Amino acid sequence: MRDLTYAPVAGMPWHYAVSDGIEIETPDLEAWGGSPVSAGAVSVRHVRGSADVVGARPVMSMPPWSTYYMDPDGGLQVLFHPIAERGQGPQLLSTVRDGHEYEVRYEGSTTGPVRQRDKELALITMVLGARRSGFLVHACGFVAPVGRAVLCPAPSGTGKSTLARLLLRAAPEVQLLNDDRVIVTLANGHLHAWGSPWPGQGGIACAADAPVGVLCFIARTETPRVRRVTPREALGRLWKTVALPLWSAAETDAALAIMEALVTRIPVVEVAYPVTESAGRWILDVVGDLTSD
Amino acid sequence: MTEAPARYHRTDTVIPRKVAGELVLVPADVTSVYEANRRAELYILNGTGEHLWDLLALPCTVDHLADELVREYEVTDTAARADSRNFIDAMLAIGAVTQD
Repeated sequence: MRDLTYAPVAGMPWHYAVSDGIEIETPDLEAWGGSPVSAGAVSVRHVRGSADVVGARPVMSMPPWSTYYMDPDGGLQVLFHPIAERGQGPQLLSTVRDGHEYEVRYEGSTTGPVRQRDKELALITMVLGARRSGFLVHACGFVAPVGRAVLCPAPSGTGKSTLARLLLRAAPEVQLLNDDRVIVTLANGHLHAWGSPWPGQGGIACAADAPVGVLCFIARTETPRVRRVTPREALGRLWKTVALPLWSAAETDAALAIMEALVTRIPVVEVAYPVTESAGRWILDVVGDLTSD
Repeated sequence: MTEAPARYHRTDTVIPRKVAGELVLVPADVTSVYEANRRAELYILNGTGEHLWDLLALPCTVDHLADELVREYEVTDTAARADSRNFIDAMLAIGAVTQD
């Protein structure tokens, strides 16, 4: 058994114990700088074994990649379906201690190392859900000069990486958290944004964190404009970008409370802009004004 | 013989929650559709929808819902019936209400 320790993700140390004969590939976690430790560790054992799901009921499907199951004791399991072109058999991610300890069983032989990103994304959603502490959101996130994080949620393929490029071009010193996935937590009444190790097309994954200052939806238009967004509209738009623990009413409830905090406690705007050289500077000026309010 | 009008009531396949002052219906039974996680929608009800949702705690006909809307809001009977029918159809589509 090999013990692998990675830098903390959103304050949580991340450990893998990997049985002999299993090769895993963790480029995201290996490149990750890590945040200060502020929460309990996440530990995952990787072992060979049966990936059969016995006695559990399906609670969520993500075809063609995975199916989520709940066992009779309330333990969540995620079956990752075989991928023939990668020579991978089925793999079962199971809860050992909710929010803290998990196990991945690999059935059959594998050809080459098994990439872990799909399991890591499932894990972070399971862990944050179980701890009722936060969620992963599809967003470009960055830290404004006053030290407040700006969260720009958007579904896949709608401009997050482009926004990151515009911001970096306008102000190379701007601290980008991630161009695709940001972790948001709510602790002691405070909303906090954390970079995540899992970047988008822009390849940006920075281990920085900051209190959330602005929720900023993005749109394309010919002429730059900014408008306030109502909590109702913000809720509907945020829903489409947050990885929610829909397998559990209690966990979903906790996530909704964090969404509520996001749409009611901080300025919420939509910035619409053309993709031009000047757009990045304009966006930074807009959110700079909002974060200094 | 005239058939009795259909009556509808809430199911437990959505979880109603007040979020930011709005009544939202969260899909609870995501196994009911195969691509559940992709198709799961958050339904945010307006004031009228919230009123109708409250009424559907008990079995109601579309006519009863419409009568309540006419009484509560300044709407015509025709508009109230259309709104009630549309609301029931939308709720039936997501499994949030069922016919008795």
